[in-house]
Amino acid sequence: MKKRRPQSLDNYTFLFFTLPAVILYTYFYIYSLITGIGYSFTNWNGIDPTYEFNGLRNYALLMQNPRFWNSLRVTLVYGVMLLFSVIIMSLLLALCLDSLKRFKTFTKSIFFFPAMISAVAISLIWDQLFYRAVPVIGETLGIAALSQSPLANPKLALVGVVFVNAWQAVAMPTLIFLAGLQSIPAEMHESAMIDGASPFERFRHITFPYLLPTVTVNMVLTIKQGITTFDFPFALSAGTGGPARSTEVIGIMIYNDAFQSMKFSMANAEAVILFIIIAFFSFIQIKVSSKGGVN
Amino acid sequence: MKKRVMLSALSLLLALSALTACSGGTGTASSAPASSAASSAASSAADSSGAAAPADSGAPITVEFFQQQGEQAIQDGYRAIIEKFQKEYPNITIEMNTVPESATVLTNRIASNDIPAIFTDWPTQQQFKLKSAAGYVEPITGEAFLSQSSEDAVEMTRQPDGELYALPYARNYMTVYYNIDIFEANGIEIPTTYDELIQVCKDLQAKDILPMYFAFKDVGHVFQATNICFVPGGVEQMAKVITGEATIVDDPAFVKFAERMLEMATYGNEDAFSVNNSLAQESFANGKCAMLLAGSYARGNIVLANPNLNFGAFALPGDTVESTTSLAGVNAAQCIAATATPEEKDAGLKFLEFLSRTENAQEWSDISGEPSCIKGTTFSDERMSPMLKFLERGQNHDWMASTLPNNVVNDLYQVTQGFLMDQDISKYLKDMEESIKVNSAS
Amino acid sequence: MKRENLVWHILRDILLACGFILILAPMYLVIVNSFKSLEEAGRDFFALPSSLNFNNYTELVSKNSYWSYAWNSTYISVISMSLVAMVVPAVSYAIARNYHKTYYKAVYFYILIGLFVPGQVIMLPITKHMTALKMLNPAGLILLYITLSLTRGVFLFVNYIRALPIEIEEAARIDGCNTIQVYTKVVLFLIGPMLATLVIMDVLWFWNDFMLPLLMLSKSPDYWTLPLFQYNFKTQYSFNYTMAFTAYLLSMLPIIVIYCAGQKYIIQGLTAGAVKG
Repeated sequence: MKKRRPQSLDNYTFLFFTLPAVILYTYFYIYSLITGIGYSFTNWNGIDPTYEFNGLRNYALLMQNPRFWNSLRVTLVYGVMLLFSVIIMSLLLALCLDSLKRFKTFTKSIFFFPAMISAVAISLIWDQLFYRAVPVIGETLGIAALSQSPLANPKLALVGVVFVNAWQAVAMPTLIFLAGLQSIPAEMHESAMIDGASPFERFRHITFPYLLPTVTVNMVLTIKQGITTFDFPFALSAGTGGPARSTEVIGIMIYNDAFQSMKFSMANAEAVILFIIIAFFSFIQIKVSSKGGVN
Repeated sequence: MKKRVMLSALSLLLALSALTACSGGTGTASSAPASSAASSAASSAADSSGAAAPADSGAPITVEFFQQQGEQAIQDGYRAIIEKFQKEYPNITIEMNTVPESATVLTNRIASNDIPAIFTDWPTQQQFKLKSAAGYVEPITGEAFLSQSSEDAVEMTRQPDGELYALPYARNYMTVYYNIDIFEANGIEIPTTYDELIQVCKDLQAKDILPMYFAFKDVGHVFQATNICFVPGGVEQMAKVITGEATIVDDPAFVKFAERMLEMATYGNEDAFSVNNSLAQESFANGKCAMLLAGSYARGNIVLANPNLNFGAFALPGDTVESTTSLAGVNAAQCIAATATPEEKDAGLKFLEFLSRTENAQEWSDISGEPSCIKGTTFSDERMSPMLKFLERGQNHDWMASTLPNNVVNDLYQVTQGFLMDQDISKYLKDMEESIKVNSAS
Repeated sequence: MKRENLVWHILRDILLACGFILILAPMYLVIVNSFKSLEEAGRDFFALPSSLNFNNYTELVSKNSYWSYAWNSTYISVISMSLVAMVVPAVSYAIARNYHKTYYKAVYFYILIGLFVPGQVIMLPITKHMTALKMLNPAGLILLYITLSLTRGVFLFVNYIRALPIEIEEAARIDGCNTIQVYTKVVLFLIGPMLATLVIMDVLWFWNDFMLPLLMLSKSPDYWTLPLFQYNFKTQYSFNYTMAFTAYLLSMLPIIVIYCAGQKYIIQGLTAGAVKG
């Protein structure tokens, strides 16, 4: 028998495993993050060679800016809508796919399709679809609200964008849920079925408790996606956040302020506030859900 | 075992550094890396190392030309001229670089001290004034080729410090495109006053022809064109709102402009809010309407969508011919970076001079479909002549971004969109005023 | 009970059918319009093409530059993915098996900071940084991809590994394996399913990403990836959507091929987790 390696050597190995990640992360990411946060305390417009510190002035101006509050509201509504639609749809979809006996692979592939295209491409495709197909649908079904593209109506535009985002976003969580579903021991379902439980009862008492950790993972990832969303509202509103600022999520406001309006430091202040909001939500979420689940 | 760990670590590091080494420059001389945002562009211009070859016109040099307009026709135009330029100056290679979201990329590159040696920009805009004031653009006042461009265009680009920084190359303007066949078939003449325009709309409507098409998804340019046409001095008044010297709430001229926008919209398509510029152009090209208020950029796209369409352009009319103001400005102009090396600047000046020659400008205009600012050129599309003739009267006003900051203008677009939906005029003017104040606060 | 089974099956089939329509309808329109010229598409967007007109396709692939963009996208995605697969599981394993020690727990939460940071706040600083390092090129982009993929990857892997039973690794140690051998011989197999998931997520990200290549690779068209090229079809005032749709389809082809070919292994990987579980 070989001798057991000394513990200290293993410790070095573990340490070494973490080094590339920590070095890369710190040198590129954290450094840029700190620089970015630093800029939010200045008046730099993005291109001037010099700038001055002006403390919390950007933040004060933001608090008084109704546009900023509007975009916060839009972002939060967007995030919540995306979260609910994606989690519910992907869970349902995973359950459906899991219970399929035939054509399982084929069906799974079809539903994975949306994940293979880029967000920008999807947005541009759906923009055309909304413009051309929705009025036709609205006419046949007689729904007045659908007489034009939902992206044209300030009350529906955000829903339209969430719809397109969700169209793509459902694919990955479904895969993750599927993997989670397949880790539930089959005996549990079998014994429940022998006991006469209906599919709905089985879901409530067996499936869902096992899935809770997966739900948490998906929720955290989806919330972040929702609140920091940029590609979809940007492409669908042609970069304007319109109509009438109804799709102006914070991501768009930050981008335009930084690169079109030459208000770079203000954009960074907005991003910092966004950062705090996300941290707050995620923290609460992780705390709450770490209490549930089956080990 | 330990050795194996070390070996694999080393090889990983080697692999990574090999990747880094492959990065190498693109051949253009690069300035010393900037250490922080505070380093001024001026100082890096001073210590930028030149190309290894001696500064002699025979030495081969590659210069980047950052061209911001993505339209295919414009790119083709430049490519044709670059080819000719290459023949006359075989040692200078111009690499045209056109990227999407070019404004963002350019801002990024300026902030990273990596300004392209030659680039196009819109010199009448406020954002350009920031660039020239910060010393990023090379002044070219006094260069001979500037006199090739028409004087009013050159004057428009003069910066607050009195210097000239760009060669104005093409004009742009807002105009009303009209379907010549529809007009002739219905005996309609080009309207020269606003009342005549409304009469034309009524006549067309009576014959079941959609008079106008609007792209309210991209409402900005319509807003600018109507505001400039119907409110003389309105843009300057809005600028005074920033300093608190004026107000636009309840201003009768602004009220009239809002009313007229609403009135024109009643003669337009009902789904205007889901239509963007591209779709409006397509609809006009397919004969769905008689008129389209759009920019000079639309002409090329309309031709692409339907090469057989017989259409022309006239100026959006105000109360009278004499009082009509058209929105016309300088489209992209070429500039040279102040941080470029002397060899690059020299190459840049040669390129600009080459572009300014009448025969080259004419060829560029023909291929790109853009009206040229260079003297002696004629615009190839005769049907646009009513508009171009009007431009010669000089009753023009530049785009709002030359007087108001970009973000103020952009937010006004959103406010206008809201107004066109709820149609409340007094709320509109109040919202506009608040928007101007909020977005210019600093 | 049998009735409830039936109800569930019907519901399920309806749901799946709706999903099919929602997914296939857009794809139909994309495919159909890629065979039309811009003129024809403008006239009738929904109709089948008048003929199988491959003009758009030939125009795209006949340009040499198209292949260089495709090549750029390919090698950037492949190299990034390989390096991510080397770095992420390693650091996650170290964290997961040393979670009780402060350093490792700290590293975990340190890396998780990235979960909360919106992309825009680091966009400009990171480009400044990379410009200063003269790394505005594919190599720099690859390094950034590895860095940025850490947060999500470590988040997924640490949770996954912590749930894995430690007995197998301990058995390997008793047999005299050091940590590296345990890692390569045991752990890498156990994390197969999650690795498959990560590979899918990240490859799709790298292949379709637009923003980061825009900022990092815009110096020269030689560096461009496919998304940058595709975005050019939409200019400020026009959208050549027939060509754009063609480009999207061509861009999806390699992904579909890989997915079809690798699907067996991906599903195997995902279900293997269940068997062991």
